[in-house]
Amino acid sequence: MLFNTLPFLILLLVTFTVYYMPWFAKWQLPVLVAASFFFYAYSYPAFLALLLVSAAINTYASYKVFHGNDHTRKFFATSGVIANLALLIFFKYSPFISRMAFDPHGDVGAFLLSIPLPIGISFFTFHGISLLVDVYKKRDLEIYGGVIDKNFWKHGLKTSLYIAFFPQLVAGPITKSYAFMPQIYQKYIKDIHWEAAFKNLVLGYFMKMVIADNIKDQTFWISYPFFQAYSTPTLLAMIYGYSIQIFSDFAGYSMIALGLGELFGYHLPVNFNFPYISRTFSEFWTRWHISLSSWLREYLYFPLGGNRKGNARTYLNLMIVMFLGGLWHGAAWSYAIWGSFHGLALAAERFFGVFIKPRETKLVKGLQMLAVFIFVTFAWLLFKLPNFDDAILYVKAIFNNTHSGQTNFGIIFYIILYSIPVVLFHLFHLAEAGVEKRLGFLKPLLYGFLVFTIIVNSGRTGSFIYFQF
Amino acid sequence: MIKKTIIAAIALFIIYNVILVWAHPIAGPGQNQWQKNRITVEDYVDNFQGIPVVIAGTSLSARLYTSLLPTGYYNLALSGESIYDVLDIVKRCSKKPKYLLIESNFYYSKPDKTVSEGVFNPLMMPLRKWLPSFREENQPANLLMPLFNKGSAGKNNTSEKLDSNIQNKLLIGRIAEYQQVPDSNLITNGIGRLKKDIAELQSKGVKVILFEIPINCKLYNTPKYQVAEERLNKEFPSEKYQRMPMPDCRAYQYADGEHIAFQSAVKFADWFVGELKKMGVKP
Repeated sequence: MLFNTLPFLILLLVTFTVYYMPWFAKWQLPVLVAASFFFYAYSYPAFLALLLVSAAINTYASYKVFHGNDHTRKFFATSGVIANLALLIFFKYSPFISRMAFDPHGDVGAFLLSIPLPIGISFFTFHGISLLVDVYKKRDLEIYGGVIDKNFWKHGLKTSLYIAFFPQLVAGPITKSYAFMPQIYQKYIKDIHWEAAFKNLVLGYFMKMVIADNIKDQTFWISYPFFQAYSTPTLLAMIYGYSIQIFSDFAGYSMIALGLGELFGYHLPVNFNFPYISRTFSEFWTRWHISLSSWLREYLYFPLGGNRKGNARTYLNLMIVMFLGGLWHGAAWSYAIWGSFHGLALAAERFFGVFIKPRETKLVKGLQMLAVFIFVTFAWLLFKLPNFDDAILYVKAIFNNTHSGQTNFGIIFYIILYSIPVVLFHLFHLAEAGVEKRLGFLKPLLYGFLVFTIIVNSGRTGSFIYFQF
Repeated sequence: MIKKTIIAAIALFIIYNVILVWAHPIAGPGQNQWQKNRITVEDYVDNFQGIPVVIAGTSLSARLYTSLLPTGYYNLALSGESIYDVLDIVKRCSKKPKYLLIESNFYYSKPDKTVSEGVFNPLMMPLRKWLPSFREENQPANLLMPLFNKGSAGKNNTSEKLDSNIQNKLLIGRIAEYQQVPDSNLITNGIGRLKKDIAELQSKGVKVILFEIPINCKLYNTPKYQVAEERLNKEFPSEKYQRMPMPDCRAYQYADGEHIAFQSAVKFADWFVGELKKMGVKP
């Protein structure tokens, strides 16, 4: 179920109404869990079974880790994490494994290839792992003391909500258990932060429906063999457009998720913080998909030793984390290569950062931002063209079609037009942090304009790019 | 802030509709092929229902612009969609054409119906009638294009830069693609669907003619084309169904092996209309 469809709007209105009805005050948790399960099952009912299995595994394992005796805690925590990873590997990577290790026409190969990819599995399994690790490490024990209920069924409901809360179920933000579980208590309509919810929803829907959905029909031509027919300026415009599209699509989704969370009294973590003004790759990863990078840092990079075991080990850890982070996005080598590119960039930046200290002038800062943006933008090509050969062909076409191919004015014009709000969005932030406050009476007009464009200038509805991950 | 925002949005919406009604700004051709499809269909449903000759086709026929055809013709071909999406639109309209020309190149493509469901949405149909901002061609971004590119005000692209090197690359890709035979179930379902749609339309007095758009000659002798064509000829014999003669593939240029170049569209339109005249099609 997409956030920008009528069935979702109906589900939201019904859930919101029932959730805040005084008679249902004691049933808020089951209402939200049921709505989340319905949301998930709407398009693919069979996958609901998988979500229920995931919720059951994590409920049981976390309960046993918290309330079990000291001898079995580690066993349940480890088994639970393995079970989560097994679900993820089986459902997400079976076709990949089949293509690598088996004959696709043989019994095993064909079976592995036939396994469908359940939507959101990468997100809800990471929630499960977060819960088990946090409970095992007794993180914020005083808070958890009240959160991991003695009542198993109540704990099951809370875990189910954490795993399946519909605003974040299919594409995040990935919320750590210690940040979400303590928020589960009775909510009141008077406590809703309406303005925050409204602003997030308007900005989110604008970024998704007006920017990303319109640009996607221009960048559609970044697919083999169509792109070969275009000239260098059009090819460059399209790759730039895809960079804007993927940001608007995912940041838009995340903002909608935040706004929806607010409506039900839950604060979800901010997932994007103006990533395209980053001057370094390490800064980029503190601004882009923040919830994933912080999850990887906390549950993978630090346990691997982080930067505490010498330079060589730090570089290796960075490469491992980014390689796996790439594979998390998709079961194809192109994603692993994409992650490795970023890993290499992070390692190189760390290595050369010791010797090179650039001056802090505006020009240098601008060039740094441009360099990071160009690298990141070209790396996105592997998302759009998962077949590595096609990506190479695209780059070759950029160099070869300087005097040939179609220069499509329409594609270039609309990509520039729809990227203007994203560029301004970043520039305002760069210019002055308090720019929104200084907008004063113009603020409602600006948001009114965004609402107006959502109504009259939305693109063809498309699913969110990150749904496939 | 929320109330003020909503008031501002409503005010902008009203002002914009007033501008559309009073100023009649020139619209661009559509921002992308899907929007062009929507504009074509909305225009047909709202203004051209009942026109005597209608073309139902895919992107192959879409280059045969209505402006290249005589008065009384309307090209309802939709890029990226199947012929069944177009047939669905014709079936849903209360006024039917006298002649319906159906492109048969990809008769086995599956219907999608997104366009027709969008255009015939019971909520949007009346809104589109009374509030012009809900017409696809009136999207603000589509109205901006002609201000920056005067040439885009007309709706047709009639030339494109053809580069033999790129054309060859694309043709090689097409030839490789045409080595794959379409799934036999897909063909069988397509045949059944086409027969059913033709019968339904004929029962409402529509005269149906099947035609083929030329493709690069090198694609004819490929498994994909041969298998599909053989089945089509068997199921739709010219004794029982009106079919236009095959065009001469050598007479035209092709942008990517499959789509006729815009320059050749004019020449093909002449041949096409001429053949229809010979068959007695008079708008």
